[in-house]
Amino acid sequence: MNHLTAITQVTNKCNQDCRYCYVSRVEEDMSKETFDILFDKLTKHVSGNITIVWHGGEPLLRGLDFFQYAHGLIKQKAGNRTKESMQTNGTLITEDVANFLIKNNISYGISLDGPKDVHDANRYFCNGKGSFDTVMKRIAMLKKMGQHPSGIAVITKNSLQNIKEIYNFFNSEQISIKVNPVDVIGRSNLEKDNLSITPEEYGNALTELFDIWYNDKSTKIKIINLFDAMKTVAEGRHYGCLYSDNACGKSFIGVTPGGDIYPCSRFSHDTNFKLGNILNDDLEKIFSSPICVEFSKRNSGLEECLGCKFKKFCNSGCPSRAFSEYDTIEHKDYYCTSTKIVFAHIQKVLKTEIERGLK
Amino acid sequence: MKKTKLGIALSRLNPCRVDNPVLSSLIRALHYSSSDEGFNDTRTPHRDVIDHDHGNAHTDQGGEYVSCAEQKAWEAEHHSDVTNRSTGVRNSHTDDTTESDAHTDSRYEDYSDMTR
Repeated sequence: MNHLTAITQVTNKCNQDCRYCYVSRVEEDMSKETFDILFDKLTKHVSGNITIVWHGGEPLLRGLDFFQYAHGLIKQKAGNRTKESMQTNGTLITEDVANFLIKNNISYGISLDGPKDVHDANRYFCNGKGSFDTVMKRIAMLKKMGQHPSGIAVITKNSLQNIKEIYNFFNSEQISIKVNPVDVIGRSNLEKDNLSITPEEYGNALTELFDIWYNDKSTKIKIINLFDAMKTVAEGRHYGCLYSDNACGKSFIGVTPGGDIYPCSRFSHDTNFKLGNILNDDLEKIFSSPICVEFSKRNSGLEECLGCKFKKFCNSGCPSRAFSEYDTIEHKDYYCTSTKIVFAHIQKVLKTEIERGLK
Repeated sequence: MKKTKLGIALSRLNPCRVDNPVLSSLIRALHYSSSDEGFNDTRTPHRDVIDHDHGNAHTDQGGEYVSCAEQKAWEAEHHSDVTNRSTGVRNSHTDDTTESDAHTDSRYEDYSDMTR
């Protein structure tokens, strides 16, 4: 195997109780021994680059000691071909944590939905108090240390009316973002009616955001998934695992704290997708499981997408988003319509720019 | 790097003459992806690795938009071919034999077939 990304959930615990979270509430930590075995098998199975995405729950609840240990092991065994990154809610980033991440070149993204009213509506601590103020204090500390954190913002039904406000907030804070819709997976189904948005609403929200950002001549940020969509339109190739035909169960795995392996962490709420356990199974066996074969079939092309002009851009989208809505991965992404809306809009804008530039 | 017809047309625009920072940045990104292995693009340390959508831990944090002075300095130091592509004059470069950029359609009117 040439390269592999392991979305590694080091704990299911979280100090927040976000309304749209889909991670199991079963509290479990990854042991150092489990990571030892995982990384040992990764280094033997993967000939090229390995990416470890520290994930959770809130990964920093696992403690800095765990990451120091894991980073030492990674450096010792395959430091020259391994990259680490972390997705965190940001509330537990102390100066020690920040120094560790910076010193060891571990990139990180912070979950932040926008200004206080937007963020605190869905992202709060277990005691019900919104986490915005704490997150912003941590970001202020990081900025003082010369850092420019990026964020990931979730768009919900409640924030659809606040797109301009959300953009202005991130631009004023100079925080580049990736914007996601609520993924209705597992227990987040409980809030589906209150929070989820339709593909049309998501597509329209993204085009609104694109226009605000694109027409802001003094913008200080990038909307990462929209910039990637621009590159996709220009280069004819996809960016990100959502649109890849080589991700889930092929060059991506999700690892639970107990060492269970899934095609992606977005399937880890459903044991029907379990590929094996790293403590008991070799990666050869894991990647040859019937579930991986099913994912490969999807990757070879869905019939319903054959006539679509954007097929090469999106490869039928995310299997998890298909499964969450249609109970099968043999279906295109639930957000297919929004993808088409965004690609078509960007094509139109760029075509206009070219015509203007050539005059 | 192969491009769509739209991408090829965009590559011909001069990022320093475009007054839109997002578009300018896109054009630069297209130039970067066209450059050969001599360019050590530290923003994408694992070029063969698919980016993931499980977070936003990007390494190109900060400094999202570069000035033209910075662009020119980079071009002079790293990649003269990029300079050729950045003249802003349509069809000005002579390297029409490269796979990624060999086109004869100077009108760019057909965007229906987005992939080449």
